[in-house]
Amino acid sequence: MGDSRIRPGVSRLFRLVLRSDRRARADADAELDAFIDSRVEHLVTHGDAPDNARARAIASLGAPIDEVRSSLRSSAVHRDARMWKRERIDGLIRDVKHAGRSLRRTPSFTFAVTAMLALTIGATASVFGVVDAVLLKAFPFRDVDRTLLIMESNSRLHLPKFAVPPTTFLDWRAQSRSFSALAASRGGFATVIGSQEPERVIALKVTPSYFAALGITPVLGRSLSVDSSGPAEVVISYAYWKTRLGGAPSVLGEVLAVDGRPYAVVGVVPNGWPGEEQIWTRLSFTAEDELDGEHNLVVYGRLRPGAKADEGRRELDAIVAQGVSTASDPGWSVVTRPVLDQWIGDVRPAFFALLGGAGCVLLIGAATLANLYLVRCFARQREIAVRMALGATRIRLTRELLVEATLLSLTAAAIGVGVAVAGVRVLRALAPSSLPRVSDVAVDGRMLGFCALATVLTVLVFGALPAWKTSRASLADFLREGGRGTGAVQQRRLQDGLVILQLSIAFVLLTGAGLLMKSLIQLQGMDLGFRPQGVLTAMITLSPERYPTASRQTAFALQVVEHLAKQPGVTAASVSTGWPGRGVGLYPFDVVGDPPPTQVQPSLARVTFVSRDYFRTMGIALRRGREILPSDDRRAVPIVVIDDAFVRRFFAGRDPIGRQLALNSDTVTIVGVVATVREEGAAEQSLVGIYEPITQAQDVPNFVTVAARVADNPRAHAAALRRVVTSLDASVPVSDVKTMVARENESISTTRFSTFLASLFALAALALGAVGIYSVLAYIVRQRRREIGIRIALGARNIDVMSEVLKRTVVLTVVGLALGTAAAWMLTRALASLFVGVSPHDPGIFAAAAGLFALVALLAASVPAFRTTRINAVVALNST
Amino acid sequence: MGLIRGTLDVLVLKTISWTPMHAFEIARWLEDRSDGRLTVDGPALIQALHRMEERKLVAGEWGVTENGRRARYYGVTAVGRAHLKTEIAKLADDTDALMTVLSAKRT
Repeated sequence: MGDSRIRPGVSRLFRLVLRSDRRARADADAELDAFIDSRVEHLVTHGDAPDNARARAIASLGAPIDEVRSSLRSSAVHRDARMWKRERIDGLIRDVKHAGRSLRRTPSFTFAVTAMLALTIGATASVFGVVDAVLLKAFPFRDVDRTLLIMESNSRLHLPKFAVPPTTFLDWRAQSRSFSALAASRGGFATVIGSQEPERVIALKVTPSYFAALGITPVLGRSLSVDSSGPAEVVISYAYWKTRLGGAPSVLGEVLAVDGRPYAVVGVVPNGWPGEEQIWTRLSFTAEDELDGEHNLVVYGRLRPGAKADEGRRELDAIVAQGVSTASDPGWSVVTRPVLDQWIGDVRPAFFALLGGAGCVLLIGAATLANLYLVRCFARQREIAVRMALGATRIRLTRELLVEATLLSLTAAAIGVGVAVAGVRVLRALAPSSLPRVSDVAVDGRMLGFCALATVLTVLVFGALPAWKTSRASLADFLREGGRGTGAVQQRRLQDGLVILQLSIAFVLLTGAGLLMKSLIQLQGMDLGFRPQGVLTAMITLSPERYPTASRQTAFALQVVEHLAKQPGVTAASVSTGWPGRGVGLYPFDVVGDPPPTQVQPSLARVTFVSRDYFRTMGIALRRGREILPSDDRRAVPIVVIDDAFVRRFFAGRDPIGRQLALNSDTVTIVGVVATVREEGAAEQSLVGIYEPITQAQDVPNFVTVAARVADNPRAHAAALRRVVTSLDASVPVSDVKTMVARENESISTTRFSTFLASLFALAALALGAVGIYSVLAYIVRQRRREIGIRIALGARNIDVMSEVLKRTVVLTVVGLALGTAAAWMLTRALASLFVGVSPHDPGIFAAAAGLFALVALLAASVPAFRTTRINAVVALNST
Repeated sequence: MGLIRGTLDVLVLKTISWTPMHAFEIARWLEDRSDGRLTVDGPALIQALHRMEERKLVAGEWGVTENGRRARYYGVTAVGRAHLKTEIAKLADDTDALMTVLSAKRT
């Protein structure tokens, strides 16, 4: 920078951009030297000898020159650093102010973009929050990959996943080498009497190795001890500890009365446990267990380090094969699953699909905004071109545009967090309560992080792209194109690409939502086989201590039914093991007199024990024969009622009434046929049903369902139902009081929830797609105003100019639809498990989605198309 | 004599209020105008200029002296001019008060 004087702005710019400490020191030195030299010159001109003059000049500094130099240097370095920083901040503030002014000039654009972005970010984040809490957050299991859920399958009986008999488990435990721990559990309910009224809890009986096998370390206390000689122990869930037992550490050592026996609390399972279990007690095998071979255990195995899941499975299979000769129970093979599948296996595909859907909406949102923004930038091209000609740098302009985008995004993100907070609340209320860990759904750091990430992504897509595009404009190009804008073809390609991307993604979402909706309708419209309306149900639990025999249990249950039936408004009441669609036991049977089936194994039926008014209470139609009568008791001939499905499968074309079944080592006579009740959540019936009078049952589970059909609102009778039970025996807990409609809804609640969210996404995507088309066409119309004006002046008809615009719409829509169909075709097949009773390529849904799509596209296009006809030739030609 | 504390900035601003100068010119101008009564410490002057440049009261740029030497010239900015005006008013006021007290006669 020697002799020529450089414009101050430029030199400062250079100094600030190329700031370096070395330069600051050199400048300080130069300035000091100039000062000293000038003084020397001055002294010499006043008659001093040069040597003498220099010595005087240096002496006049007031301090040794080295000291002066170093202090000047360091203060200069610091000052430059401060100034550089401030310059940057000032620049940013200037840009932000500029962006704010520019956004205020176009309030409708600013409002639309902010609202759209806030909604997109908020909605996506709330869905992420739910998926995160249910699926993604860490489970309290150590090395979860090494733990397997072990079950058996039987293809002949259509049982893909089934429980394991104790004999098999004991063989495995004795012989297996691949597992460091094998544990078994058996679910059920128990009655706990604490300080409050008796309560039914969900209880799991487990072998002591259970917690080690799952890799659970109690958050408080310890797991069950291996030695069974000590006092009975119970481990409780975190939620049970917090909500029922006060949540204090002193809970350890407290004694709970579980089914009438004292259990000492020894441990608390950590928060985040995905199941509904509340207490865990020891499972010990009785001689009876080992003999009857009933499949009633869920087994967990922890692989030894280095062992593969498949090796483990093969080993267990081999052990089963060896034992077959003694158990004579062939046809079973071992299946293993990652342990988490037990809880989240069913929801995982749906939830990942939803998360994907949310991501798509975010992407479409960003693309729509990019398009709107692009249009805005092009509209400002004149201003930008002029400013560039006047010396504004491309960096500066790009930065301004980016700052503008960031400002919008940050505002939107802040509002979006608010939307997410509300959204999470809504989703948590809507989500099925059976969803694992749904109560943990909350706004947390991870969700806010997601919001931040989503915001950054959208800024990148919708801010950077247009900014980069626009800054490439030059005044020459602008003028050459007659003020129409720059790089028209290139820019149009970018816009078209964005719109096609939006449209095809929106189409995928739309078809997905359509298929889910059809599944839901299919599920809801399916003939249930019973009438859930007007029925109230509840569970009562009969503890083995007070009701040790089946006849004592039955007697009490029937007493409840009898009193319940007398309540005002109740038209029928019953007691049963399970409720329609949710039976409890599977039992083998043979049809007496028919040739034995070719397979070695007997057929299986779902058996429900019911009291006589069960069919009337539940509204299950009697097709043939008779219902269960009061006379069908223990002294009478054992009878059963079977369902339509049974008749179809085993008595095709023959009369089943009067035929006999060998069921559970009894011989029973068929006296009636009722309608088939659809199994909960299943699309097709795979098992046949048998109803046995509860009065003839040998063995009844200790929790039974009481039900009442009422003339008015069933919910209003909940208190009466409780009162009836407690008036007969105050120690019997009444739980799970629900209308049958509510139970039925629960069985499809996950599908309903997914469908709701997917429809929401699809609607959002469609709306965003429409905005995308609209913005592109509106811009084109605006841009070509002059040309259209000339054509109108020369006598072109409205229809001609309109068709121009519409042609573009048709091309965009057709391309978007084609790509979308291809993508949807592939994706829906991958997600086939989500759709019940609907082909993933259902042509009706695809056609309907395409039709809706075309309609929306045309509507979006019609506004700008119509606007062309309003162009006034004179005004258009006078404008630039 | 040395400078009254805190007055160097305002003197410098006044000095360069007509035309940009480099540090030694400023020092000499102050010495000449005060008939040698004010002596300016060079390094302190440079520091003061830097400080004021940071506060945007002055703007510095490299230039060439009459003798062909490279030196940093400082001129007053608009902000500096306003600052100078208020500082002068304040100083005048202070001096006035000071003199009023000092010249008081016994009554």
